[in-house]
Amino acid sequence: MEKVYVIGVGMHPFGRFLDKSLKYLTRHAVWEAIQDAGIDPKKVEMAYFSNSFAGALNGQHSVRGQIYLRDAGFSEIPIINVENACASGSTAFQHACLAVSSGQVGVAIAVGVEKMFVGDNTKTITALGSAGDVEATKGQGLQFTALYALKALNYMEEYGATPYHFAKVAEKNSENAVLNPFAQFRKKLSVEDVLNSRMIADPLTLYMCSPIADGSAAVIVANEKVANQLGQAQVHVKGSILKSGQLYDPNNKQPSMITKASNELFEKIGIGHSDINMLEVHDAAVSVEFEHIEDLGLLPKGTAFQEILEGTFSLSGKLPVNMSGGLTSKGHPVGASGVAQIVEITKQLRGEAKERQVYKNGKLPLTGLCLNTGGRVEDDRAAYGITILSR
Amino acid sequence: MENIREQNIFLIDKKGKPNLIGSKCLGCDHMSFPAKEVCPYCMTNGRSEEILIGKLGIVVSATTCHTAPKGIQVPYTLGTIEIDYGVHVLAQITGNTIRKGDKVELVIYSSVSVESAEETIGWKYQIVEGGGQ
Repeated sequence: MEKVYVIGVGMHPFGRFLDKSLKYLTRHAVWEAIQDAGIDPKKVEMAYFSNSFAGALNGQHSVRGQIYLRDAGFSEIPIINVENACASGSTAFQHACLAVSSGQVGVAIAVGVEKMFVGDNTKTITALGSAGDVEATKGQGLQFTALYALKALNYMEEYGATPYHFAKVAEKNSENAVLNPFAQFRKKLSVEDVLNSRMIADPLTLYMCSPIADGSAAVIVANEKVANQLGQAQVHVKGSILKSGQLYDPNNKQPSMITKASNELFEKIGIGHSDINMLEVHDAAVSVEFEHIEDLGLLPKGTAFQEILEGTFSLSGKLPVNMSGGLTSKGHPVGASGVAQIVEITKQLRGEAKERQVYKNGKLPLTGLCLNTGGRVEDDRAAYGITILSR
Repeated sequence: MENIREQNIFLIDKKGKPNLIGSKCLGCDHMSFPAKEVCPYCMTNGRSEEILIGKLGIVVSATTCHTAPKGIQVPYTLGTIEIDYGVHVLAQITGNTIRKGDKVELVIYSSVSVESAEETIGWKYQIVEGGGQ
């Protein structure tokens, strides 16, 4: 197996860009990554294109990657279209890494692009709701915010958390996003702002939920030889894992899929939970940050909501979470989100995160983890992607 | 009256009562909804029997939504319902007050799209009168 390195990253800011096309967004992120890597683009041998809704929202089906990447200059190389709901980005990234680690290619690119502002937000919410079993949920009004609300209610009931604790997460993420030029919302929110914003799905208010967004992100990965030639062998892909949702357990005794998958990954790459210096997790709603941190085994169950009050997950805290601002403040252009998590951890490991740079005992962090989830199948999420990057 | 079946999801039986269509694996006894030919628990293929379930249920959790996909009026309530054999289903719930532990019954409704004039036959759960806490 070849070692895999992240050699270049690029992003278009997340936000509302009615005048920017999917082609534009793709080209922007891809070429930023090419320039960042300092690589001849002709050396990129394979591309994984992550997008979930250009079919439903923009009318482009079947060959999205070939269309949008042609506009960025790519022809002939294999382009694989990846669709895994909100976990499309981590799926594309993992497969770009597999192409390199298997020795099939020396350099591959993962690109995530989404354009969700189409002049009709109801259309977008409807499209998002199709990331479940449309036969079984037809007419129910399935929307992911409601699913996150149900999880939040369970967490509150089980451990005694309140909406105040969720608002603290939104406050923390907004503070981080103020420092991130790629974030959709760069305004500091107070706990009161969050709690007083309008109710979306009880107990989740507007500022507790990730917004509709346009945006793109790209990551180029290469084997050790190419990474060394370019002087880009700083960020090593320690490992990644991809899983699908598990079966419903009527006795509710099994660990969550996040716990199962992360344990398998930690064991496979031979590092411990205490080696993780920072996280980007999938806060499609802020309430799941607690669940994610706990299910990854980084804190005992039912304790993360108290740790938020201690500043544990802030940039200067013991375990910074969502340094980028997370999905809630950075924005959540579905197909781009998982790739953008890799961009953030890469910048942090390289020491390029500027004002939001994390330090561990005065030094740059050594290891970061990304958790990206997507869709729904029966009683669980449809897809889970976890990636660990190290210096 | 014949059974009326919709997309293998629900069925109105000869007595006019709505049911969800589930399946039971004859290999491992696990229940599935939606019904499946192959059991996802033991992966036995072709040894499942269809079972009508879900006439009644209990609200496990519920949230009131203030935004909605196309065709749904706000506010509405979405929740998890526990039905026969401990199966959990996600469904819209109607009723004046909806709380965890409330008894609900399956109802079939029809709605006509203002845009396309297409009729949708759907299912949801409704609080059983006097079944609240």
